[in-house]
Order: sequence, then structure tokens, then C-alpha cells
Amino acid sequence: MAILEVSSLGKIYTTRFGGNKVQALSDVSFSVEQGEYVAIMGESGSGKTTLLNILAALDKPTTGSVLLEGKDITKIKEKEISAFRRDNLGFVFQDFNLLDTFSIKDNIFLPLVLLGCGYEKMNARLTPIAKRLGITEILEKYPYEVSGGQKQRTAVARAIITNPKLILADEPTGALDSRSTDGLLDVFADLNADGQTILMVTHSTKAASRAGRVLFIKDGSVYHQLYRGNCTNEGMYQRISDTLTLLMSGGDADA
Amino acid sequence: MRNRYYARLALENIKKNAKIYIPYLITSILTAAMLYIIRSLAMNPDYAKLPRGSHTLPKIMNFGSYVTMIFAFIFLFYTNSFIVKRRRKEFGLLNILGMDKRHIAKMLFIETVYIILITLVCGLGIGILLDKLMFMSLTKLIGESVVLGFHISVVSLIITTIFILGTFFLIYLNMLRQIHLAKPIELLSGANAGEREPKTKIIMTLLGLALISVGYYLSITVNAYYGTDSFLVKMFIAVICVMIGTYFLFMAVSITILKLLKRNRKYYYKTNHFTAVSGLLYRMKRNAVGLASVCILSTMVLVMISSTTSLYIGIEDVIENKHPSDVRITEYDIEVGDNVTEYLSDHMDNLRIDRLTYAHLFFYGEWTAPKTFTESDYSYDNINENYYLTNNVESAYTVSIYSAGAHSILKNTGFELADDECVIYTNRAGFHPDKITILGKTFRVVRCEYEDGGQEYATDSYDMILSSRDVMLEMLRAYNDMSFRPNNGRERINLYYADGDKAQQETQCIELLDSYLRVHPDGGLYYSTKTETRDDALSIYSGLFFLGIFLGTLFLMETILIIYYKQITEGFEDQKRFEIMQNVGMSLSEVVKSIRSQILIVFFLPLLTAGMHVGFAFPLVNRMLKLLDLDNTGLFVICVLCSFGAFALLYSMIYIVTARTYYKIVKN
Repeated sequence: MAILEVSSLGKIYTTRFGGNKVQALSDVSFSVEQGEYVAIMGESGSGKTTLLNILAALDKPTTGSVLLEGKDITKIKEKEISAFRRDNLGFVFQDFNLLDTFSIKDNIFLPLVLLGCGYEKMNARLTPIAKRLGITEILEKYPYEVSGGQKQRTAVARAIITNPKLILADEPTGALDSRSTDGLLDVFADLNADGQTILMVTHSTKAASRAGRVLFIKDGSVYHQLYRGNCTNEGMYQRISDTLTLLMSGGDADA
Repeated sequence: MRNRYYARLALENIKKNAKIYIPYLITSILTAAMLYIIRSLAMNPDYAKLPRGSHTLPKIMNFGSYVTMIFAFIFLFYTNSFIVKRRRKEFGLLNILGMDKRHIAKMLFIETVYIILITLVCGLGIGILLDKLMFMSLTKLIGESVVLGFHISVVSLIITTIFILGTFFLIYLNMLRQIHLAKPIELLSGANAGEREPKTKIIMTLLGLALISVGYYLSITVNAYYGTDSFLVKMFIAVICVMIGTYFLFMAVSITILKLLKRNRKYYYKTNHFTAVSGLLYRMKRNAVGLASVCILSTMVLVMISSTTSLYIGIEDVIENKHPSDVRITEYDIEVGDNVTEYLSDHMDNLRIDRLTYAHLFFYGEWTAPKTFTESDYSYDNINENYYLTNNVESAYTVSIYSAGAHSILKNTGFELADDECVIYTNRAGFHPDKITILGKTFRVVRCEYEDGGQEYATDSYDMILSSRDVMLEMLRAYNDMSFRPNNGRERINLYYADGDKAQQETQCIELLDSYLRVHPDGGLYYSTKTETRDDALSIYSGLFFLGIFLGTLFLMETILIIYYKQITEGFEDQKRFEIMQNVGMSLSEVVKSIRSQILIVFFLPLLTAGMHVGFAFPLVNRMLKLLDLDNTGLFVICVLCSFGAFALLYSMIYIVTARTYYKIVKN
């Protein structure tokens, strides 16, 4: 069953002064199955960020619809959007988005506190997650005291502690060194193996090569997609590289 | 050519940073204007044309100008530190782009020159324009008609210019110091260098609480001080304690409380408290010194304005207290006094002169038997030579001796006493002897009352009422025979009160006395009139009132500026936080609500604390007003409440206006 269905999504920005219109998305359609791990790749300016913002209910599309478990998130009322995101989505960002006024533990608790959970319940949920992500030791520390990889694992813990239906990751490895990147991708693969649905936007071939399916976006629409099938990570890496080369060298979707 | 480049760059910098430079410039311009005005008021030649106040007003304004200078210097320095903090990143960037620190220094120098020029031209211009207006308000306050004439005080211009040049030069040096000490990378990261969670400072917390308690205690118990305790010293200690305590309160006590709240998991992990407590923790850490300063400034404004206003409004009370009769004639020799009485005898009825005799005796020394005395054993015989020689004013006490008749005219009492009886009024609480021995004569105390009034606050004072003038004179003679007489033994006073209703009577009385003094130049008498007293009081209290409003304005201006800069700083700091909270799943309105409550607490804490300080300072200031002869607690209460109300209103307005800037930055 498809957990997420995106159909003929279009977004046109109008510049503030005068009527210059920019088409960020022209016609994007795809669906994500329950338990799938999808990576979206594309050049800067290809419309990745716009797409992610719409999926995250941060932005509204000009045309088209986004169904999350059958519910159209583009039609949700402004007032309910925050609650909807809190209940259904988990976010991982490139620059971690941790609050420096909170300890690691409190950063992870933040969405639960917003949901009104008690301390005991929150702690019970945190313990296994922290153990799994290897951050038990640093829970009492503050963001400025830990490494980039640890910060990103904290952000992942914060994203999954609410048991979201879908995790949206925006360039999660963008600010990490290669060792931390590997660690984080292992975490994602591990979560996915447990049935967590993940949608990741990335530049990194390496990050994308771990996904079950890779969507390529160019000029505001889906240009191509690759299924992993029985491919190894290395094989996947090679196929993505080839596709990217094709994409770069001016291959046209219509061609 | 290159110089022109720097000049242009400097000008561009000021323009680009207009948001922080314009308020700074306005402050420095107004500071310069105020300094010019107060200096010029201290030396305005038109005082000579005023029938009253020509001596006191220049002195008060002169004093005010020093206070203005001290605070103006501190304020300008302090405000500049905000600017440097905000511009660190810019300096770092210029440094990395290839500008030497030497070049940055040159650029800053030119900027400083611009600021000085703008400040002096506008400030002195405004000062000169407003000077006359201020002088007119001052003359209006003391109840004189307006004196014509327009002056530009060259000396004041020079003093103000030197002051501004000096202050900005020091500010410039301080900026250079900060830039030279920093590495470019530090400058670049500027404001948001990794922030640690504030630590609980136990010692500072306890010290802060202790200091404030001591200050408050000293103020509340002010009425218990008598005699040997010096009121002014205690007041000074109380003020210092509360000032330092306030800094500690904001720096440590606030953080300790928040930390305790944070440790309480049940409380802390609530949607409403979670972001607020942790946010406040950092806000308090960053803003503690600024907020404490705002609190102290507000307290000063409130105390100054409420007390000077009380004095000004209650001026008639003061005059009544100081000088109950129209003319007071004082003699310091009994025998000469009799001559005066004889001289005046024909006119006594006509001029409604009452001969009231009371003696004002002044003893140095200390209570000599404090350990063994019983309630009935009070004795004033023990004037100890050693104590006298120490000449210690703190251990002095005064005894005024009245005849029952004099006292009933003076205070409207009507005691009928036997020769060995007396009534006592004292400002010493808990003083209830049965008998009193003074100068070798023992009296039975018929009545003894505590009276918190009069003027002798620095010492114990006792009003002793005896049966008749004869008994009283007997005491005086005994005092004169004493071997150790303070004040050269001249403390023998007869008093006449002339309480005529008409100005004519007053004039006649003065003429009589003047002609007596012409015949007896050493006649052992002097006189004072209510008119004189009123003139003096009017010029002093109007001057103080004016100064209170003047300095209040200066402090208020600085308060506004600090709040404004705090809002800007907070705004930039919160920008990122706003974004993150929304990303994590808070709606914009939730984020705004959470942050608004924090900001409200941060900005209104100083006002609330100032209100508390003023409340606790009330007894102290009220006592000080009594020392200045204003005994009208009701009036002072009203003045304090009105000042606080007006101030709170103004403060809220400042907050609302500056908060707009904050939300503009945050939502950007």
C-alpha cells in the first residue's frame, strides 16, 4: 500500500516585485510504499527543496496533491498543520537544527513535550533509541560539546521518537565527514530494515546508493528512477553515477 | 585620494548600521545638549536679576552638572559596547578581506570624528535653543516672573565640547583595544561564539540575597535609629548594598531559581515551561548586567522624581515646620534678653509678639550607665570630659527646655505642672523613665511620649516641659555654670514669636529689631523671617525638583536605549531559534507565544524589581524627607504611586515600540 502519493505536483513562484514567474516544479508524480527507503537526487535548482517543503507541509503547491495515508496534506488548515507535522512526520536537516539552549536529551524530548508527554514515558521511549543510535553517553551534554555526527544522530533520535509515519531527510550527510556519513547511513538502513519509511533528498551519490529507490529530478519534474532490485551498494553507486553523468551531459527527458 | 576613500567608507558604515547608530547619535546629541544646558544654568548671569535663589540655584545646578557628566560618560561608554559587539563580524570580514587593523583603526577614527561633529553641532544647537526655555521653567518653578535676555554661555560650550571630545576619544581607544586583542576568526564568529549553559553560582546567589536583605532591613528599621546611629551612614550602606545586590540578583539568583525549576522534572517537562525555562536561562545570562542596570536606573528615576516632587508640592508644610511664626527672634544671653524684652515691651501687643522662652541645650557625650541603669534611674548628670573632648557628633544629644506656657503657645498643649514635674517628648523609642535627673535637679516624669518629628534626626532629642519660666531659667544657669559647654556655652536661647497676620506688622517688627541692632551691634540677638525661609526653601526645593526631572530624563533616555539594544540583540539571537522550533513542529503562533512570554519576563523583571526596591526604600526616603522638614507621608505615598504609575506606563510604551523592531527582525 502506498503511504505517500504525489500526483502532478506543480509550483510557480511569483517574485515579489512585478510579475516574474518562476516554475520550480512542473509536473511531479510518484508514490512511496510503506517501509520504502527513497532518495531524491537532482542538481541545485532542480526543485528538490521545493518538493521537500511541500511534502513537509511547509509550503503549498500551485497544482496537484500530496496524499499521506490517503489524506491530502495540501488541504490541511493552517491551524492544524503544525499538529499534523508533529504527529506524522519526522525531520532530519543538513545543519541539524538543534537548539543550543537544550541538552541533547531535551532536544530529543522537544517534540514529545510539545505533545504533552510525561517525563517517565518520554524517558522510556528514549532509552532504546539512544542505545540504538549510540548516544546514551552524551545525553546530558549540550550541542556545542559534541561532534557533527553525534549531533545528526541526535536529530535522528528526535525525528523517530514520535514514531512518525514518514521521515523526511534533507541532505542529512551534507555537513558530516565520511566516517560520520557512513555511521548515519547505517542508522538509516537499520531503521528502514525495521520498517521505517524514509524519504531523503541528497546530492551525495554515496548516500543515495544505500536507498531502495532513487528518483532523479531535473527542471521541476521526475526525470528518471532507479530501483535497487538485487543490486549491491557498489552496483547501485555505479548505476547512480552513470545516470548522473547522463543527466549532466544534457540528456533530455524527452530524448 | 585614499583618505577620501576612508571618509566615504566611514560614512557608509554609519548609514549601513543606521538601526544601531541613530539611537546612539540621538542619545549623544541629547546628552551634549543636556550637559550644555545644566552647565549654562549653573552660570547664568540672569540669576542676579532674581530676588531669590541667586545663591542656591547655581550651586544646585553646578552639582547637577557633575552628576550629569559622570552618568553621561558611563552611559555613552556602555552604549558603545553594544555597537562594537554588533559590528565585530564586520570588522572581522574587513580584516580577512585584506584591511589591516591599522586601516580599520583609521576608518573607525574617521567614524568617531563624524559622530563627534554631528553630536556637537546638533547637541550644542539644541542646547542653546532650549537653554532659555529651561531657565524660564526654573524661574517659573520658584515663582518668579520671566527674566528677559538671551545668553550663549561660551564657557559651557567649551566645557561640553571638551567633555564630548574626551569621552569619545576614550571610547575610540576602547574600541581599538577590543579589535587589537581579537583574532580575525574570533571577530568573524563575533556574537554567536559557542555559548555554555550558565552555572549556578551559589556564593553569589547567597551574597546577593544577603545584600538585598541587609539593604531592605536597614531601610525598614530606619525609625529605630536614634542618637548614636547616624542616619546618613546607614542610608549610604543600604543604597550600596541594594545596588550590588541587584547585580547579583540578576546575575546569580535568577539563574539559581531557573536551575531549580529545571531540576524539577514535573514542572520542567510541560509544554509551556519547557522552552521558557531553558530560554530564560540563557537570556538571563546574556542580559543580567543590562537588566540590573535598567533596574537600578529605574529605581533612581523613581526615587528622585517622587521625592523631589513631594518636596516641591509640600513646600508649605516644610516652611511651616521650619518656621512656624512670621518672625523669630533668637537671643543667646539671658541678661541681654531681658533688655530686648524691655525694648520691645511697648510693641509686644501691637505686633502680637509672644515672649516664649525655651532653651536649646546641647550635650556631647554618651549615656554613661547603660548596663546598670533601671527604668527609674535616667540621669543626665554625667557629662564626661573625655566624651566632650572626642567632639563626636554621633554621640551627642540635645535637650530643649520649655516652660509650660511657651509650649502651649508653640504646640497648642496646656500642661499644668508642679515645680518638680516635667513632660517629655522624645524621638527615642522605648524611653519611659519615672524620674529624670538633669544638671543636678530631679524631676518626676508625668508623661513621656514618643514623637517621630522635629528636626534632630541625627541625634537623640528630648523636649522637656517644665512648670514655669523661672524653673527653666534656673536650669539654664546651671547649664552655664557647667565646666564643659559645647558650642562655647552660647546655647542660651530666648525666643520671641511674632505671629502677625499682616505684612505691615512684619515690616514694623523688622524695623524695630534693626534699629535695636544699630544701637547694640553686639546685642546678642538675631532674627529670621518666614519670608526669608520661604525664599530659601523655594529656591532649594525648586532647584532639586528641576534637577530631579532633569536627571530623571537623562536616566530614562539611557533606559530606553538599553532596552532598544537588548531587543535588537535578542531579535538576532532568536532568528535561528524561531526557525528551528517551527521545523520541529511548533506553529508560528506557538513559537511567538512562547518567546513573547520570555521576552515579557525579561523586560518587565527590572520594572518589578525596581518597584520592589522603591517599596522597601520608602521608609528610608520618607525619613530623609523628614530630615528636610517635610513630614507628610500621605503626600509622599501619592507621589511615589503616581511616579511609579507614570513610569510603568512609559516603560510599557517603550517596550511595545521596541518589541516591534524585535518581531521585524525575528520574522525576517
